[in-house]
Amino acid sequence: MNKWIKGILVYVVTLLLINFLPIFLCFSPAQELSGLQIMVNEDTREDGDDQTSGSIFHLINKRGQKRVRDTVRRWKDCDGKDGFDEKTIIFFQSPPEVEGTGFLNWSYIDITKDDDQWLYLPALRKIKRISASDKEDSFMGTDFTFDDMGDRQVEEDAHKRIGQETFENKKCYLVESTPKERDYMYSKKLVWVVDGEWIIPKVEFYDRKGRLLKHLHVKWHKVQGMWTWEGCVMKNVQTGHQTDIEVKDTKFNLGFKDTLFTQRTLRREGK
Amino acid sequence: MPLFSPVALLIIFVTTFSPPLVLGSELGFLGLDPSKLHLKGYLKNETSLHIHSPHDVTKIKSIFHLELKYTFNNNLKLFTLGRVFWDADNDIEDDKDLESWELYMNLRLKDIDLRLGRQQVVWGEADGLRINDIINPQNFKEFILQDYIDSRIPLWMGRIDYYLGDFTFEGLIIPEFKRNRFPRGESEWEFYQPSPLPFFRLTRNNNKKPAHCLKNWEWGLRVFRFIKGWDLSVSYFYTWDDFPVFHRKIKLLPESLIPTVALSPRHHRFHVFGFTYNKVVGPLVFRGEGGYYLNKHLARSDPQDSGGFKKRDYLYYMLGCDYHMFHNMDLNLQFIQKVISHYDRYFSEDNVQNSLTFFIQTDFLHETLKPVLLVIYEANEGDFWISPKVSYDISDTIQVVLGGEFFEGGGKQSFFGQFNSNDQIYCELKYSFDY
Repeated sequence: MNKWIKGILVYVVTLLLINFLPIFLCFSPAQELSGLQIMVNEDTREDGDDQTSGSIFHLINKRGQKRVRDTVRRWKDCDGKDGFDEKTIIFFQSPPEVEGTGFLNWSYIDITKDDDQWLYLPALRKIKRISASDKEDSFMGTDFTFDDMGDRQVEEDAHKRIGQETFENKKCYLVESTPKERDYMYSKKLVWVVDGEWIIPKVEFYDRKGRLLKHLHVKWHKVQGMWTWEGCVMKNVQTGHQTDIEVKDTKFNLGFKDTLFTQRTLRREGK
Repeated sequence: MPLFSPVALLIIFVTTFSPPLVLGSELGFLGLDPSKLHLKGYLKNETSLHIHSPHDVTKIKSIFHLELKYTFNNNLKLFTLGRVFWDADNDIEDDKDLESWELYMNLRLKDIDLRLGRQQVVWGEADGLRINDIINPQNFKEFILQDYIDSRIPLWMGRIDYYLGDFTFEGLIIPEFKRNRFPRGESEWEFYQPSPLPFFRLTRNNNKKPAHCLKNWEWGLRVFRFIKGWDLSVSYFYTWDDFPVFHRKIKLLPESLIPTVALSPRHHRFHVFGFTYNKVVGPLVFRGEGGYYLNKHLARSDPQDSGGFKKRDYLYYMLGCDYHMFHNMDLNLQFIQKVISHYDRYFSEDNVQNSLTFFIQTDFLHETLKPVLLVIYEANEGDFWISPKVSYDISDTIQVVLGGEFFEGGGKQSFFGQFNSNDQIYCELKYSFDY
């Protein structure tokens, strides 16, 4: 009898283990994910070989006055071919004052090597070579800096998982990212990363004195099976200025050739 | 004084605010697709005031600029622009005019881009001066105060770009000749012209333009490529001098004891061998360009010369550096030098001419407020031009600019010094539109 009871108990426990172990494992290792692993997961999320999209930037000051910047962006992941990391070309479609302005960027696998950047200025009818922008510079007068727009590498910050939180009905990891370099424009960032999807719906930016400076809310959607921005709002709580971005016509894996990301395209499409 | 005549205002209003309606129906009638038409332009008023007594208004210029682009498909586009102005003040010649117009077609083939029509072509790296950027002549009606995009005179030409690997080959064929435009005698911007022979009586003949024939066409070639972080180019341009040289003929007329000098402005051909480079090092962009001008006709004051000029070569080059400082602040320095070969004291120009330019710009309030300062210093005569301005974007379509043009140093014969009494402040108001 005891043997029977023992046998049944062993069977039940084994069954429970087999059935519930994955659930257990699912929580357990994830809870052990470090802040760095979470941010690496986010950074390496599938985003295609190339992409095109249109972005409308609404710059709104604290009095509610709005300015609009309409851009088209094409991007290509070079996978290290010939030393290139990625290539990007952006054209401004409005306002009329900057319409036709083009920006070309080549970034390299070697992170010690500066990006090569060119600007086509229709008002001058020529291409100007520019130095890689200061990462703290505003991107087109918006509330984003070049670093905010994705130039910052994961390894440039120390990442610490400080908790879990449900945000917009999704389980998120809360990661505190502090810059390794001294005197960076932010003392820290708090980043919400959705578990499993590895997307960032919210970020808080703190200034050098540790005060909340800006917060970013991002709306995501899936295009061709890949997560991408649908829109976002970046608000500077200290100045009251905010930037809303509306992202449209996103398409992935169009097979862009390297020849699209050249000075020829800048010159030809500029005017 | 009214800024616009009522008729001009009506035309501008109709063309500015109803083009989609008007052009849409017209294009539909022509079988073209209105959705492939892009139209933009601006209305602008420029008003200047002398800062020296009697503080008179020197310019009340209203400009209407319109651009149209029709995209037939990815490989074929048609572009045209026109700019008319009306000046309520009479200091500048031709108080109403079609200031500029362009019309060209872009055709894209596999490795070739073709642009045919009336257009501007810009070569070179220098800002604020023209070494290799001499394809189009220039309008000096407002000295060099206009932006180059507005002061270059478009020409009928063909431009072909051929892409071979990392190389780009650019060819130009220019059948049309136009000379630079200069201000008329009553303009405050009339250039100082030294007397070719003091104490002689002067007569001036008309300017004689080159004949229209194949051998008089201008043409040029340029090759450029990006290699190991360097943008490099070399070029050759066989051109006509857009500045005339005054041919001199001395006569002793029986009825006069004073000899007479007859001056005939003539244009001559010369060759330019050019190069450009740029390279980024951290926050610095090093850039430069040079041109070796071969067989350029230069004016002389030697009474024993038969024609009043001699052919000489000269080297004209610029070494510059851009520095991107913190928070969108950009600084630029350029050193420019011109050296004439086989020089003697009778040439009107100095043997070696040195210039420096300094430029700084930044922005505030999310790129709505932009202060800019440009200084050009001519080292030989010690004269300089200071041009500060501040622009403010009231909205995406309305911009206001306040600035000044100050000329200091040098003598009456120096490039900037001759305009010492023309110091002025100005205000611009611009409305841009886009359909």
